[in-house]
Parts: sequence; C-alpha cells; structure tokens
Amino acid sequence: MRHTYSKRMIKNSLVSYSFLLPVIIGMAVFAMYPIVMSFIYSFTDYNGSFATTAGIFNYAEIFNFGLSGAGREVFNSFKITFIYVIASTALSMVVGYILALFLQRNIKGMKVIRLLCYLPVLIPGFVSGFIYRDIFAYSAMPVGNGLINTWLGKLGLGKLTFFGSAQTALASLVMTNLFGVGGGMIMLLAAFGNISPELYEAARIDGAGYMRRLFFITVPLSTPILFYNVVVSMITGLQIFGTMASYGTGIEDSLYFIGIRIYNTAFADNNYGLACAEGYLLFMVTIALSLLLFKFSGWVHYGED
Amino acid sequence: MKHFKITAVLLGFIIIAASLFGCGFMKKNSDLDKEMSAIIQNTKFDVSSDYKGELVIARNMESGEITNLKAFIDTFKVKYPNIKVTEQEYPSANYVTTLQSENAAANNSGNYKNMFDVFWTAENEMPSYVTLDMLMPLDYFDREDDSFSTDGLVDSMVADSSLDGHMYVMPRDYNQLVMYYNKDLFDAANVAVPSSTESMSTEQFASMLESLQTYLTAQGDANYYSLDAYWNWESLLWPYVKSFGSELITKNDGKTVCNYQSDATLEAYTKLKEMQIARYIPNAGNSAMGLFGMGNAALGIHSRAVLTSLLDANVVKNIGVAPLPQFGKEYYIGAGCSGYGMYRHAPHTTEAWLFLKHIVSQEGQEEFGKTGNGVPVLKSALADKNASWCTFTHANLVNGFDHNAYVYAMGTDAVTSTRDYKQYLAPAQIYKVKTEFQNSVQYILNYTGVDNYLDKDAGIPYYIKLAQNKIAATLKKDVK
Repeated sequence: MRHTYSKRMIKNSLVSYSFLLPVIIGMAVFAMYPIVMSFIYSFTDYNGSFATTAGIFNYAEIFNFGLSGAGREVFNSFKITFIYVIASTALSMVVGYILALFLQRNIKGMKVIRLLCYLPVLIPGFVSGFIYRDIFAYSAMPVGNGLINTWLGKLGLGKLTFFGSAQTALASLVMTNLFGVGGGMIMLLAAFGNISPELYEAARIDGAGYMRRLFFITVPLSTPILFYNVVVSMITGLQIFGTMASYGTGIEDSLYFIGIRIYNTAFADNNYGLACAEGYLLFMVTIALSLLLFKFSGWVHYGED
Repeated sequence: MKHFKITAVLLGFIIIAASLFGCGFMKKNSDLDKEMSAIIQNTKFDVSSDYKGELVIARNMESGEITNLKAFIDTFKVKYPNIKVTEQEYPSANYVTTLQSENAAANNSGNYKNMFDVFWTAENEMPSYVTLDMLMPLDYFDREDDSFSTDGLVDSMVADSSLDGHMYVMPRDYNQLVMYYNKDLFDAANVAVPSSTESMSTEQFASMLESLQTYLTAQGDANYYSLDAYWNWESLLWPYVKSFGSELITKNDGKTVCNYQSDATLEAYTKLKEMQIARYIPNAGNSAMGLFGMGNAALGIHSRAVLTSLLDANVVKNIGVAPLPQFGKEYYIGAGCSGYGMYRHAPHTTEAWLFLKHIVSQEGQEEFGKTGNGVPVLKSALADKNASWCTFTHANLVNGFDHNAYVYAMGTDAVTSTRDYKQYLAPAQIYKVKTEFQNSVQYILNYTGVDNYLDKDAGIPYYIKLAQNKIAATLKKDVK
C-alpha cells in the first residue's frame, strides 16, 4: 500500500523531529561517534595523535599470553575485576537486604536511621575513596597509619593491613563498598512497600510465622528488584574505575581492575588502539554476562506470573 | 516509524562514513628531512627586532610557571615589540592531557591554524610528546641559524632535552638536587650546619642525622624528623641507589636488561629503611617537601624549583642550602631540566624559534634568575657570580646563603640523571619502569616493619624482586 502524506502530516513530523534534534545530535556526537571511532581505533595502532597501521593486532595482543603479549596482564585484571564483582555483589545484596528488612519496621526514629544509612550514597565515589583510604591506612611503621590502626595501636592490639597488603586490599575494598548499600536498600524498601498487606494478613491467619512469611512472600515478591540490583551491580562493578584516584592500582597491582588498565593503556602508554580493543572485550564480556543473568532469571517472580 | 528507521540508518551511515573517510588520524609514511626542509624554508632566520608577527604560547597555570613564563615574555616583548604574544591558559592539573587532546583534534581535522606555537614541558614528559609527534626537532633550526648554538648551554641538559638524535626541547634551567636546612632547628640542637662548599661523607651525614634526631626526640613531639625527602621520586631515588652501585636498566650484548635485583640495591634500601627505623625520615615524603616547609624537619632534599614556595610560605625563617651528601660508596647528584618545546605543527615557526632562542639568551636567563625559581642553563650565566640567580636574596634565607650549592660538582661524573637508564627504553616503556621503580621504595618504607624488613618473603628482598620481575616483564613486551 502506498503511503500518502499530507502537508499537515509532514509539518507535524518536522516539528517533532525539530524537538528531537538536540537529543539526536547529542547522541550522535557524544555516544554514536565515540562508539564507532573507538571500534575503528581498536583495529589500528592509534596513539592518541595518529595511527600508522591497521589490522587485528590489538585483539591478537590481548590473547597473546606469551611474555611479549598483553594477555596475562589483561586477564589478570579481568580476574581481579570478576572477584570484586562477585564478592561485592553478593555481600552488598545480602547486607542490603537484611538492612532493608530491618529498616522497613515502623518504629520511632526509623526515618532518621534510613536517612543515615542512605547518606554515604550521596558522597561521590572518589571522595569517599579518599576518606576510606585515610581511615583504613596501614603502615608497618608508627607513622602513616589511619584512624582504625591508630585506635588499634592505642588499645595495644595488632594492626590490620587493609589496603597495605596484596592479600587484604581487595577484601578491604569490598568491605568499604558496604557503606554504599543504601542505594539498593532504598529500592528494596520501595519493593517491600508494594507488597500487598493482604498477603501477609492471609498468611498470618493461616498460621505462618515471620520466617515463612519472609521466604514465601517478601523474598519472592522482591526478586524483580533484587534481580535489577544484581544486574546493575554487576555492570557497574565490571566498569569500576573510581578507585584509581585513591588507591591507584593497589599494592602489587592488587586493585588493577580492567577499567584502570584500559585507562593506563591509553593515557599512560599512549596505546589507544590496544585500550579500545580492551574496552570492546570488556563490552562483550558485560553483554555475555548480562545475557547469562537473564537466561538464568527463572527465580525472579514477576507480578503477572 | 518508517521515518525514524530511515533517519537512524542515514545517521549511522553518515557517522561511519565520516569516521572512516573524514578523519585524518591515519598518518602516511613521511620523510622527516623532507618535511623539516619545507618548514625551515618557511621560517625566517635573519629577522630584525622590528619583525612583525604573532606567537601563541600554551601557558601552564601552575603559580611558579606563571612567574617564570612572564619573565621570559616580558623580556621577549622588549626585544621584539611588534610580535604579538598570546598566552592560552591551561589548568596545571590537566596541562599535558589537554595539550595532547588538542593535538589529536587538530590531527583529525588537519587544521592547525588555531594551535599554540610553544609549550612548556618537563623532562619526563618529553618522550610521550615525541611519541605523539607533538614536538618539533629543534636541531634542524639550530643547524640553519648561524646566530645560535647549543655550545653555550650545559651539555648534560642539552642531552636530557634530546631523544633519538634530535633535540626536542629548549632547556630552560639546570636543576640539581640540594639539601636545604632549617638553621633555627640546627642552632637549637646545637649541631653545626652542613658546609655549602663541600659535600658530606656518608659517616658525617649519618652522624648529623643522629645528633639532630636526638635533640628533636627529646623535645617530646613525635612529628619532628631530621630529614624530609621525596624518596618516591626517581630523580632522587636514582642518584641514591646509584651511589650504592645499583643499576636499573643496562644494555648487555645489544639486549636491554634490568639488573635491579642486586646486593647493591639491597644495601641501598636497607640503609634507607634503617634511617626510617631510627626515625630520621618519616616515610616516602611528598613532592612539596611538606614537613620541611612546615618547620617539622631540620633538612630537606629537593631542587631550586621549590625555593620560592618555601620562602613565600614564611614558616621557616632561616633557610640554608648545602650540596647533596654522599649516601653510599660513591658520590652522585641527580640533575635534570625542564624547558619549552615548539609544537610540531606550529603556525608561527619564525616567532616560536625566536622565543626559544630568547629562553637561553643572556637577557632571558637573567630575568628568569630574578624569579628565584631556577638556575640558568646558560654556562656564562652560571659562571657569573653577579648573575641574578646567584645574587637572589630573601629575608628568610640565612646570611651568606651560598647559591653555589646548586652547581656543586656540575660538569663532573658525579652528576647523573634518569637518562642513565631511560636512554635504553622506548617511550612506551618509560612510564611502567618509572612506576615500578618508584613503587619499590614506597612499598619498602610503608609496608615493611622493624621485625621483617630483611625477610626474603615480606621484606626488602621481596619488594626488590617484585620490581625486578615487573620491569623485566615490561622490557620483554613488544614496543611499537
């Protein structure tokens, strides 16, 4: 069937597009163009100024695990990032959930406690990183210790290495992330609020105790938000970069996340081509893991199910 | 919906087409000699003082650099009143990355009309600029210009400003490490101040630190130390470890190798750690020599560049200067320089070359000396005891402040620079080697304790081995 357009329809369309134009231009310049260009750069030896050759050598370099290749370092960064994502996501989910369960109670002063729990989320990540670095600073010598180790010293107790040891740096970072569970917690509180009180009432009449109500009503009906939190936490975790400002790459590169490696490859080594290839590998991994999560999301209980 | 699809497809096509064909980031093979010949032909070398032109300088907004550049520009304007000098301001924190981004944008568009002509560069950033083809090889200008020669400049600084046989930066200063002292603290401790004309031996230095610390500890304030130095700084760390016989990168049978894991390095780090255990030094220090500046350290090691900020802080009222002491078996002093480079696609090469020549001219160096921020790179100015850098004075300097400490042993084999090992590295390797080198001392000072600092699995030997392995791995990487 042949479409016919009246002058009025065309005029309406033009008006619509003129309103959309700023967004389209913005998307094209700040999203599409960098996406396309970085993909092209990943096939060149672009050094931040110019490129001389093109080919798939950057991708070959990433998968070159010999001494001359970047494979070992890149995959070590992926390993550190994966450990961080798994530990951080699991811990923040559990702690956030327990906290949300506690904070949903309707008792006096609860709103203030909720606010206090949410407050650390408002502090920008790189600022809180500096705060935690100073609080948890460790030095084997008397000078240069943070608040916690100074207190431990005054109490005559042994110091904790925190970010001062390759064995404890990652665990310390995961621990400091717990101060940010307020974000997920707020969403869970909203999810709890959406569960119909009649369900609890009916369960109570049927003689269900707190634990049964928790595992058969609260948990299943909050799984969509839990799933959302897991997906978002995984994606942001894979892209972690803000720690560089306060901890650098960590002692013995224990916090050398893939995001930081991409940055250093580009801006310190002037190897933008390889950095772009690493970026696209991270992109593919993120997509693959996201699809995997959706594939195994049968445990998520949606209202209409 | 159909409209949207058509628009999206068109937009995508335009972007991809623009990316592939409209951008000039692919560089064709070029002949440097040929390119430079064209540039030299377009540059005038026999201009008089009434030459009319325009010069654009990318100014780093760091306070010391503002003062330094102003000194050069003011005198340049007197010499060439008809050259209009425009200063483009760049925040200090992002100076390097912003210049590099602008260069990338200009390369992509192929339009260099609005680019700067001259920019400031530190010695350690030069390799990166060269890799990005941002610096004009000045040796071509030098060869063409009969009125100019680098012979009048300190040779080692000219060498530090060169890479792969080309001179890329016009050195501005001669930056040698010295030892500042707080005379008031020395007097209070009843310890004789170090000589400004003779370097201290290892034993004299150790004895002085001990005497100072005994007094400072007796005062009951744990925040006072004998010595404040930025150990996590390759310019100091290198002469320190070298004085014990340590090597970092060498060339053996045509192969670049790392030799850092050695008894000499172990001895150097052990001595440093023992200085920390004895409380002579607190930790790895910081670039601003904060403890000395606050009056909490009797001695501080740095270069001339920090002098005016120490004086302006007005906390330490009696600052003296002495040559660097001998740390190990041999005597070494670290020295380096910063300077100004001409942008590779500078729109005004004649004016830029005139300005760079002015930097190392008698008038330029004299005016620079007046700022108090640097020691000139011009040999004649260095030799002139009445030159401004040598007569610079301030109420917070000790009576008889001896500027000669800044040139102590200059021209001898004792003066060393990080070029010793960087000459063997590709620009892409320099950052990684520097990072691991500096990390090693930071780890040792921060993370080894009194009980385990010699432990082979957790002490100094472990961290030296770690640095060795990381640097060796960097050397094995393919470098394009």
